[in-house]
Amino acid sequence: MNNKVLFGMYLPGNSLMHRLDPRLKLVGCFWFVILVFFARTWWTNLLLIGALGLVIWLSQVKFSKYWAGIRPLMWIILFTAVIQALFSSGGQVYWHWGWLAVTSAGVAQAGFLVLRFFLIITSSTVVTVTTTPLQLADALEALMKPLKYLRVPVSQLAMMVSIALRFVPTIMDEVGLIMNAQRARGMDFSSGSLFTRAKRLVPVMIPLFVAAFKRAEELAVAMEARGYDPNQARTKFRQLHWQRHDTWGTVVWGLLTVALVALRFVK
Amino acid sequence: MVEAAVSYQGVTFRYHEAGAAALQDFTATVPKGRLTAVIGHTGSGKSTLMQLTDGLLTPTAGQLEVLGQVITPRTKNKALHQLHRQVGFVFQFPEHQLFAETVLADVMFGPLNLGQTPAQAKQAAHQALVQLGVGEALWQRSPFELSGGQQRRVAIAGVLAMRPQLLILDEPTAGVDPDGQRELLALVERLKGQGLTILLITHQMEQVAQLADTVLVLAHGQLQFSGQPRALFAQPEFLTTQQLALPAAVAFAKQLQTAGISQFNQLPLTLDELAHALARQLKGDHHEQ
Repeated sequence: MNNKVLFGMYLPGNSLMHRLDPRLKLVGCFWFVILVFFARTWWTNLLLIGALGLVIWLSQVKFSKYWAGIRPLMWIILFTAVIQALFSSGGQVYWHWGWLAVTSAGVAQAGFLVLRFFLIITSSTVVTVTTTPLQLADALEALMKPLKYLRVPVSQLAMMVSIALRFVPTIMDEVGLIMNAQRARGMDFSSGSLFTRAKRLVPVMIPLFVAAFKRAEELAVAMEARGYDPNQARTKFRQLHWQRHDTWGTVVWGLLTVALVALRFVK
Repeated sequence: MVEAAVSYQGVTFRYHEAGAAALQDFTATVPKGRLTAVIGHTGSGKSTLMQLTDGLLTPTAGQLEVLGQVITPRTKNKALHQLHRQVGFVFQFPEHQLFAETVLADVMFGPLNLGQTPAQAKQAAHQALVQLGVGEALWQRSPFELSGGQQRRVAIAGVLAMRPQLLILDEPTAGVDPDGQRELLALVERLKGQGLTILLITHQMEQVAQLADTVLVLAHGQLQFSGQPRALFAQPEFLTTQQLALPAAVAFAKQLQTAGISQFNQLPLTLDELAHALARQLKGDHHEQ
């Protein structure tokens, strides 16, 4: 399983990025995305690339791993870029056919678009690669706390998210097992048209759903038997502690924002 | 020497390139038409061995020959498709693979995959269901309405309907009530009597003693013992090092021996054998076996 890196898969490690507070990483990532839309010049984008490079270096995960995560999305990005290049106007016209035209402004915009996609996807991958799903759920819960005053069941939502994340690997294992069982019964998953292949998923999906519902039922009963009350205030086993490097991280991100604003407006 | 149905020749298997070997240089043979029990603790490599035997995995190194087909690290998945059809693999908790709308349709799934016509598949399914003692009243019901024990039997019927030449049973009695266990074991015995080659993974030494012609003991991906059950159970020290128990009959006979009450020329393996041996000793030679 280790040889394929999926978009958003956690890679264990002990780098500075791994140790950073998940709340900071989540907010930082969100902030970075806002900055990406704020950056409209080559210089500002260069600054963001520099910042992203720094975080990637700090995460001590090889760039090739990130690249493997972006690659499957590359076609969508290129498609969007081509559309952008064809349908925007302004500047010098390089080529045109009817109302389709490739202009210098269009090409530049397409270039920025690709860059933006790259920055957003890679920065969010940095977060998911260095943060366990459970930590992310904890961070989400902590950040959603203010919503409690609006009577949003924050801790219940957080419980749902962490249970869902907890069972992803279990269900993946089960998919493998059921596929093997059906392969052993003469099922051939690897040949035929797309339609017949999709039809072959029925003998996998049905047992999977049956098992998932059964498991959910059992889990609910087990939780109730152990006295789980969704409306009770809960204490946490994994506590989030703000540390000095988190403050420094915030400072760096603050400086990045200042530098960006300066580059954008001072000139 | 009996012909071999499966022979493993230095098979090594790793799930991850750099990871530990799930199987290490494994060499053994499974005799044709016999029942071979495979025992060992969780993580000993039993399941990996069975998946290799069905061609669901290909070895990292070494090779194996199953029903005349040689599988090497370079064997393509396509070539293994034929093997899935000849080997019947009853997974642990096979009821988890049920999916069709009716019991009959589910059992027909395997034969239809073999390319049989619906009529042939139906015929095969009927036979398998009767063999497993699943009453005709249940055939049109949804498999999900059945009890756990019935589901298990339907799932096993689904594999037997493919008329495999080699049958792999991964703990077929796990989680089944005692009556159901007895019925399943009786079925295994019947299949064995029909000359089917069977590989049985089990944790219950009584099943080994009662059913097996040969035993393979695995630990940490390596073969620890290969031979007859009687030879295995005659080595209590070895069993202790493998953290395996003695079957009840053997343990009881051993205690009788150490207490000096009875002596056995040959240790009884099953409760029946023990009873006969004791009856013989108590009554002299008049007891008939």
